[in-house]
Amino acid sequence: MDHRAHRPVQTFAALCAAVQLAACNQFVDLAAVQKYAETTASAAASFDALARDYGRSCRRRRSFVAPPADLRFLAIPLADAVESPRTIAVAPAPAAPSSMSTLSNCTAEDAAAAEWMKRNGIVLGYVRSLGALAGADQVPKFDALGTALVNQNVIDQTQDDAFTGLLGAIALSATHAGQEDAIARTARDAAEPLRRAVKALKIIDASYANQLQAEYDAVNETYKTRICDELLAVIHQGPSAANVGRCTLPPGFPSAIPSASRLAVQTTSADAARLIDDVNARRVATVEYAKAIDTIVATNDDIVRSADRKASAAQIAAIVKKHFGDLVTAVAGVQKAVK
Amino acid sequence: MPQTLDADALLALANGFAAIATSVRSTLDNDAIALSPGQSAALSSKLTSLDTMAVNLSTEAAKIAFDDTAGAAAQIAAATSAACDEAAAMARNARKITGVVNVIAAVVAFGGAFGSGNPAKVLAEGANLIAAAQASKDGTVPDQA
Repeated sequence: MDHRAHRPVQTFAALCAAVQLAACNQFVDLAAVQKYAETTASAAASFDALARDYGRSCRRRRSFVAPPADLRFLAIPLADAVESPRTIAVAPAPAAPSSMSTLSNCTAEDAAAAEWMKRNGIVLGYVRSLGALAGADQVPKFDALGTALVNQNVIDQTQDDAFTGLLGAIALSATHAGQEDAIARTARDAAEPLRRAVKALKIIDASYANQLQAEYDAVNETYKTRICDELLAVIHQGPSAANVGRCTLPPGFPSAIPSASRLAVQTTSADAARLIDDVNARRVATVEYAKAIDTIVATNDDIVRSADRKASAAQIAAIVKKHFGDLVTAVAGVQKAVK
Repeated sequence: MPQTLDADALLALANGFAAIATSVRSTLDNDAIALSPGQSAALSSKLTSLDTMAVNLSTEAAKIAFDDTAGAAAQIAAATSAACDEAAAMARNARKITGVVNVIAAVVAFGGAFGSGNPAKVLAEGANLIAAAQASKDGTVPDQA
């Protein structure tokens, strides 16, 4: 057997394998851009839920601050609510000295929420388009031709591997060049408008945080009043001028008061804690949301900077990876709050 | 000429109102200040008004911010649309090349079948060749895996 006859084929195969391997490495890097886009897209539902809550938070606050006019008392379930629903008095809405202090009927907040969702969709859609450009399904396949040539004994399997590998690598390289160019061009075109759009998103995020703060205060004060009412009624035998300002837990609480009253106060406290926890989780989500959209801008800006320096797909992917961890954490934080 | 507040200024104002309300509440809680029922109701009303001003100003700030960036949003949407079109075109081109490669492969296979002198094989490979050519012409080559 003449081994020398096989040497060119082996060399050719080794060369092709090396080219293919190099191309594969780039291929994986572009996949990182796709992963980044997919993760961002997965945030859509939680971002929408957060945005939608802008109007809902307004209505929740309103239910505490200004119940409907035909209801003088706001029914809140207490520990003994099954047998005897109790109510607490709710102060009437304060007179409005100006339009800016008039309690909203929440239509403005609903409109803001709808626009917020729309803008989230635009930003996330943009990131998804980068993922589409980095898509792995844009490289032609040569397998069928290689297989046909092997079946006709024109080439053997080793040569086929080399043949399809080389063609694939060349196609991959050409495709990557196009992908890199398209990603860089898109990122550059979108950079400035993206910064401005995200700034608006951060403003509504901060506005939502103020809404949640107001909701927190409304819940806190309503329940504080209610717990105080129970304590005054049970411990101090009813509210009186002498008991004003004594709305604190008595020494020895909870064992010092009857178990039924203790349960009522503890249950009321637990109700309040649950509502407060929910509001606080959303307040944390506003912080995570801000981090997520900041990361989107930072990633885009870095892609543009790298493109200006003629960065390779691998370098672009390295940038994406750098921000990827931050994005995953921030998106998870938002998802946790709105699940 | 009166100046209008931009979204940032409005939000800063809103944050200021919210901070005042928070500060007053914190002072009341930490110092355990005893108030008469009348004082308590009046203060509560004022604090609620501050909260309401904070949220109303915030919502107004958000509205202005969205109005100011409507053009930016449109530009992003246009860039997105162009990118998606380009990605689709790249995928189409890849399918076209694959389609041509498949036709060449079918020609090779047909040639082999023809050389073998087996009529059944010739017919089968001929059918494959026609199918590959049709798929390439119609652009119905399957997406790449």
